[in-house]
Amino acid sequence: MAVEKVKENVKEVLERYGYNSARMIEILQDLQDIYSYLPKEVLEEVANTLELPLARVYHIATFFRAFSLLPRGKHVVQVCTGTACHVKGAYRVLERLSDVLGIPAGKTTKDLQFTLETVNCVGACALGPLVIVDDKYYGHMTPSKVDSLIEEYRE
Amino acid sequence: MAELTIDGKKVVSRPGETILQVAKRYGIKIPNLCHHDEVKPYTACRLCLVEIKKGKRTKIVTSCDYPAEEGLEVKTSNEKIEKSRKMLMELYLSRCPNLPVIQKMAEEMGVKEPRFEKENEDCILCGLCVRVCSEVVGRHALGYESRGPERRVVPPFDEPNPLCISCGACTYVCPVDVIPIEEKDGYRIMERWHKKSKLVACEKCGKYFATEEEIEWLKEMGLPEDKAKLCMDCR
Ligand code: SF4
Ligand code: FES
Ligand code: FES
Repeated sequence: MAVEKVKENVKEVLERYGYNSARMIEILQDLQDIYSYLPKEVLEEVANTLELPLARVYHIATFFRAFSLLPRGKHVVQVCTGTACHVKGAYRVLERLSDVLGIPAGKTTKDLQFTLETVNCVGACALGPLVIVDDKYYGHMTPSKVDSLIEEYRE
Repeated sequence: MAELTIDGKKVVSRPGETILQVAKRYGIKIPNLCHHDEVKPYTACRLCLVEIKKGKRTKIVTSCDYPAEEGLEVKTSNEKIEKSRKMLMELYLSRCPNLPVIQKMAEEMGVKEPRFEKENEDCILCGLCVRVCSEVVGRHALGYESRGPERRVVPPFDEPNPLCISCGACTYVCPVDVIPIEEKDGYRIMERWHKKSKLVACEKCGKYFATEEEIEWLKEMGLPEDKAKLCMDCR
């Protein structure tokens, strides 16, 4: 990872939030948007610039599921496992996705094409079980619909 | 200074003391796992619960952060408190069934086999090591990772941390004694944090007395160069 570029990106994002460490979540979110995950070098640069212990930044970055410290796939497949989706069979959908992609939830395929994740209720319960690929919502999912859904995105 | 009673006994607190601290000074035992006088209260273990009576009202509070106020009537135990302590011990015992300190505490409270599924963790997440490192040593080398069942205490990325000076303060405060520290072949090794630090010998007597990082730290804290080369005995 190019050190100069990291410094530049971090500086730009920190400026956006006035170097205010109370806005750490937004800061990390914006940085994750750039890299699709939070590289170690980025967290170190944030800690150094804000003069915060790295241990603190690391805690925040690992505390929220929305952050990933490992590279994520080109496509992020999220299965809602909130109560409503759960009751409607989200786990069977998740299982099928796991099989098709060959990875458990929370992991990324070796070719960096897909990351599989679970999320909590996203407020679209009527559509459950819900799967979100990148930013697109797929409602009323069933295990049998999983294969064709993934094929749409696979390269 | 305030006068209060603990289990009917009159005690006098010093300024700033908590109930737990006064009790300790008077030899009154209150179970606890996350308290240390050198660091701020954290109220993580919940074992130090006591009942306090202020005027007519009673309530249950954690004694490690509750100030020893004038006129309090403190009871270190009652049925409700015992019940929650036992429940907590059962949870600790199922999380860490192989820790002697936990086994012993559980036994003393009459807790035998936990009803919950046993894990084999060795850290009770009291946070004492994290707090001593940041509040006392001032290095912030340790912290938490994740949350919920995955929560653990690690140096960032669970990798050797340059901020760690291998001072062993964490080893010293860990209530369940799971942070080993070892000196071997001129190095001090803190396995839990993957840290290996070179030891420095005293210029006068030749005994190893500190790690390189500790000496750097002492100098930063203002210890003169020539003194930093000597062990405590020769200084
Ligand atoms: S390692 Fe020891 S001191 Fe640190 S949090 Fe765990 S039990 Fe507490
Ligand atoms: S539970 Fe899935 S959207 Fe609400
Ligand atoms: S000692 Fe008070 S909560 Fe742990």
